[in-house]
Order: sequence, then structure tokens, then C-alpha cells
Amino acid sequence: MTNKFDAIVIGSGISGGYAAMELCKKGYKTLMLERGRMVEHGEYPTAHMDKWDLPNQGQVSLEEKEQHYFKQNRLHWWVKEDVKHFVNRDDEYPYDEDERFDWIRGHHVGGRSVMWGRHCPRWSDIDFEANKKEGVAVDWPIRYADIEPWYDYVEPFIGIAGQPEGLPQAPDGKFIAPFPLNFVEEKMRNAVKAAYPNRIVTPCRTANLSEYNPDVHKGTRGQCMARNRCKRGCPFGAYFSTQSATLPVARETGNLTLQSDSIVMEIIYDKDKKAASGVKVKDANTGLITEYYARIIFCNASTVGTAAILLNSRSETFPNGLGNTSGELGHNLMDHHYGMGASGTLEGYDEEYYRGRKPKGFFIPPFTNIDENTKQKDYIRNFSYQGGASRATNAPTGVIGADLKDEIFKPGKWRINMECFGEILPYHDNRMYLNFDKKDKHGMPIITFDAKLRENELKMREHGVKAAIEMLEAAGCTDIRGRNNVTAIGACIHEMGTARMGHDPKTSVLNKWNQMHDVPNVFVTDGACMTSAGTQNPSLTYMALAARAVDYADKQIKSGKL
Amino acid sequence: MERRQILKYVAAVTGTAICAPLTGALLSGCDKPVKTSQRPIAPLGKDGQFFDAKALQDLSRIMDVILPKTSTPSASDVNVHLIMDNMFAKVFKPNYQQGFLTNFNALNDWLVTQGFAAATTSDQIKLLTQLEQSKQPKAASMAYLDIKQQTIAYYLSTEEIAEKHLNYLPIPGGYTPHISVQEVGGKAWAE
Repeated sequence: MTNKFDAIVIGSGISGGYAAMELCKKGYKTLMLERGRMVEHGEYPTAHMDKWDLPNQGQVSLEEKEQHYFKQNRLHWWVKEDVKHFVNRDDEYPYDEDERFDWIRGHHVGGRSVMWGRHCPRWSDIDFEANKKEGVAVDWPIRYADIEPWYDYVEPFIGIAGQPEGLPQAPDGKFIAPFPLNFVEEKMRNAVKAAYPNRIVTPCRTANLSEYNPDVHKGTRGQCMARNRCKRGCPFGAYFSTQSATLPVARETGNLTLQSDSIVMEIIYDKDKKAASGVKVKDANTGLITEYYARIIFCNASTVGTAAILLNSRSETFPNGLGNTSGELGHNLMDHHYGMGASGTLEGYDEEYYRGRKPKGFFIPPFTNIDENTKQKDYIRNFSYQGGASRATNAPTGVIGADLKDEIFKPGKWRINMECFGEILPYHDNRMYLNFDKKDKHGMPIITFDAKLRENELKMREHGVKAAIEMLEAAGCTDIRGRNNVTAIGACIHEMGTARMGHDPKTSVLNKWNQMHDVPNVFVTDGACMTSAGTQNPSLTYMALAARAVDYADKQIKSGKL
Repeated sequence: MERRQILKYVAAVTGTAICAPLTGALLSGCDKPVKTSQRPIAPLGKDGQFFDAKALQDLSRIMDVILPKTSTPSASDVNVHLIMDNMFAKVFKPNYQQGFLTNFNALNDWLVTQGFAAATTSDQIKLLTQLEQSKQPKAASMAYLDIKQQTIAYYLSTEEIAEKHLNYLPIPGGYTPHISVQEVGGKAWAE
């Protein structure tokens, strides 16, 4: 096999997969490197299992959790029998914490695109302008107008089910049919809107094919069967992942070389050419080290993985990491915070039900600090919600015996649950760094986290819980239970910001094209590029930025500038 | 963070109904059967993974009052007591195991003073219902509530019950946001 390519993409997750597909479609011979094992589409061992097919009611044994998932399992909902094979074992992939950081990930082809939440809200100018308006961190070098055509470009291919609402804080996308609100969710939408006109309960904007169109949804896609087992991997290809979409399309071009079990140790810098020349790769199984060369490199190893590779790429020119003259690499680490919200019972509606298990529930876009009228005294930025209404198990108290058996086969009461997702500001002091004195089994320095929630986040949480309770009250719920359990950064699995975009090379790592200020043939289009965090689930934005950056790189190359 | 709450909000986020009783059933391992009581009752089966033969017998007797055999199977017909034994052996944490055992012994002692084993079915139902509603004695009622919640959750999650007695639809084929309960025979969807 050759070790010379037109382009190298480091990482095969949602943004690496997208970048590789776009490069291949434009004719570039592309090497996509993945540090984890191969997973082909369809290799989803639990996809068809029912609860009784899984051990321990789907729970992983205490012994196994303590041995292999002592950090990954701190979320308590993530490491289950149906997905554990897509979750890194902590004893194999160690990291350190000055402050607790839940770095939740799976090293395999497709990365977290296999297990992702699939909610795809767009960003708006309220988000892109916030840093500048408030004097926080640095200004985003792009605005909504810059990314809008790229949202338009990626969304039809991804296939996003959603309902247009015309909200400035949550611009509508190129939606396919929504997974509609169920009876009680629709009642809640109307009641909440009547009480609070700017709080909109709308179906989640989810990357599941409510309508399958083979002309647009290329790859190995298919109609959603409403099983809600997405995170196990979908044999129908009904949700968007590397395996179901970008990988098959990239392969079809004949331009893709995918290599799994390939740990990128560093990006090689050629000081004479003032450019990156390639990457140094260690085979995860044999330890053999190989160098691969290319004209351009896309580093999409995830927010933390990308920063770790760049920080480890030390040279005479860049003693503190490739492209790190700003000193910002690894800093400004963000996520979203959650663990807050409320649930309640809605009495009545005993005859109303639904058929099928929809893959997502409802979404309530931000409604505070979106304009002058909604400005808050206590905090800046905002929060949004995701939730759902469904009928619980029917297990009435004080009833047993034959009478209880008459009850338990019937649907129980309606419960509405809603979870709040809050923005985290980009603080320079929230960071990750490499401990070069401590190495993992591959000889790579240990990643260490030092980041925490601060005052603005904690203030916002109080309002997030209060507003959730207000909406459940408006919907007519009883037995309303609020919750505010502060999460560690990382827990929302939306890490961002470690190689931020900005106007100024002195204060940012990437320019407005996701191109390194210092090293023009290196691009970063994963979460590392984010200048602020918003409250939106970020994958859609990474994909739009990846497609945009590939288009830019292509034009630069064709005009002889790169 | 509090585990029950995490499950609840995660369920909300994923849009999945959470089975309330199971939220209590998460907590996790011990390999050897634990001796729970000295009173010998014949005939005893085998020791379980966690509970000894006597405790398993006590458990399944209570479970079968909660969910007796009617036109549908009883709790022990579908091995709910063995599912619970496995959860205690493999999944639940030592502090939860120990707390349950203490309460379970209190429950067994209380049932003995009430003559539970020899009582008629309707008296057994009366006794347990009274225990659930009065919440007295406290330790005994806590053990009973745990058993009741887990019995229902595990019962509904067995293949026999889910496939034959609930609406079992592994591949719905699509989503319909609003139907009437009557359309599906008045029965809940299997999870």
C-alpha cells in the first residue's frame, strides 16, 4: 500500500466521516485513520435483542463496571449491556482529572456517530454574536449567513425529521416530516404556548428517516421502523452515522482508504515548506510505526483527541504543539450541562395512546436572553429542553393479587419528563493538557482535565428547573418533581472549544475556514473548533463546517494557494 | 448525582417510557448465597446465586400473592424470583443488598407473627395490602415495597409475558402519534 495520499483525515466519527466523504467526492485520494477497531455497517450485535435476551435486565454487572467502566459509568445511564461494546474500557484508555471530567467515548470506526443523540438544531446569529456583544472570550469569525448554505447542503443528505416553527433562535432546517408530538405532548404544546407565548414545544429535530428517499439519502439508509434502539446501531440504516451514510458514499468514489487500529501519534511539520507533511501512525495491535504523507490534513479526532494530537505534535517551530503560537490549544474546553429539569403526572386521557417507539421526543428551544425583552439579570446565555410524554407501567399502590394482574397489562398514567441543557461559557482556565511524564500502553502522554462549571452556569440552572416546573404546571401536571443535580463537564458528551476559531492568530488556533492560522494545510472541523457552545447539540454544525472547509480547501488547492 | 433521577431524565430525553419500579432496581454483587433465616420449611429447592433456598422460597411465596396464577402465569411460573436473585448477585451494590436483607428478615419475622404461611389467600392479600398502606412496621414494609416493584418490573420483562400478554411489537414499522387504547385491545406495549 502506498503511503502518499492527497488528503488524510484523522478520525472516522461524525465530522471525520463527513470531511472524508466530501474530499473523496471532489476526487482526492483520501486516507481516513481510525484509532479503534473496525465496525462495518450491520455489525450491531444487540440490535434485535429484547430485554430478556440481554443479561441482568440489560444492566452491566457491578464487577464488570468496577473493572472496566469506573469512569464511563459515572453517568449511570450510559454503560448498559446493549451498548457497552461501543464504550471505551477505562482500564484500557486511561485519563486523569484535576477536576472531574466525564470523557465519554468509544474508539471504533464511526466513533460516537454510532451512539449519538441525533438531535440536529441549527445555530443562529444569537449564538454567533454573543461573545462579541458580551465581551466574552473572542468573537466568532463567522455568522449565520456564512454557515446557512452549508446547513442547507448537509441537512437533506443527513435526513432531519423536524417541524418548521419560524423561530429566530432556532432556525428551521431542510426538514423531512417530523415524528409528531403525541396526544399529551400536543396538549402540553398548546397549554405552554397559552401561558408562555415564547416557549415552543416542538418535535426534536432528529437525524432519523421518517421518510426515506434513496435519491437523497445515499449510502445504506432506510425508513425508520420506530424501534427506538438507535444507539445499538440500526440495521435498517434509519439514522445517520458514518457507517450508514458517509462511509458507503466515500467508498463508492473509489478514492477512500480506511485504516482502523491506527493511532495518530503526531502530525509531522516540515519547517522548510512551513506546512504539515503527514502523520506518524502507530498500529494499535503490532506497535509498528508508519508515516503517511498528504497535501492536506483534516484533524477530526474529536475535541479532546484532536487537541491531544496537536499538543503532542511538538517541533522546533512549535515547541508547545502544532499551531499553538496563541497558547489556546487545549483551553476554553466546553460542554453543555444538564441533570436539571422536572417530571410530572398528567391525570386522565386514559383512552389516548400511541403506536411505535419514536426515536426522539420534544424540543423546547431557548427562550431567555434571546432579545432585550427576555434578558435575565442573573446570568447570560440560555438553555433549552428535550423531553417526552409517555404512559408508565401501571402499578397502582394498595392493589395486589388477581386485581393487580388486571391492572399491570394496561397502560399506566401519562408522565411528562423534561431535561434542561444549559450553555457553558468559554473560560480560558477550563482546559485539558498532556502529562508527558505519564504514558498509556501505546506510549502516548496521558490526557488530563482541569475544567469546571462556574457561577454563570450555576445561576442558569436554577432558572432551568423553575421554568420546567412552570411549564408542567401550565400543562396541568400533578406530582411534579424538579431536579438539579450538577453534572461534571463532559457529562453531556458535547465537548467543544480546544482549538477555537477566531479572527486573530494571537488568540485563536483556527481561522474562519477552520484552517490553522499557523499551518494552512491543516484543518480542524470537529468540536475543537467551537468558539462558544450554545445549547444546541453540536454535530450538525460540525458537519456543515466540515463540508464548508473541504470546499474552501479544494478551491484553494485549485487556485494554487494551498 | 442521584441515580434514580438520572434514569428518569435520561428516559425523558430518549423519549422512552421508564418503568418506575426498575429505577429502584439498579443499585449492584456478591457471589455466595446469603443465609437469611433459621426457620426450616420443607420442601426447599436449591440455593440461588445470592439468596439461599429458604429465602428464595419465602420470596416466591410473597411474589405469588402479589401476582398469582390466574388465566396468566404467576410470578414464580416465569421465574421472577430467580431474576431478582440474579440482580442481587450481579448488579446491586453491597449497601443496597445489606439494607434489603435486614428489611427482608424483618418482613419474614413479621409475616411469621401474622401467621402468613398458613393463612388463606384472601387473608394473605389483606395482610400485604395493609402492610403497604400503613407502612408499618417500617422495615418490613420497605422490603415488601421493593419486592412488589421488582416483581412487577421483572414479570413484565419476561419473554412469556411480554410476547403473549402485552402488545409485543419489536418492529413497529413507523410511528402513529395518536391511537385509542381500545384499538390495541386495552393492553400496554411491551417495552
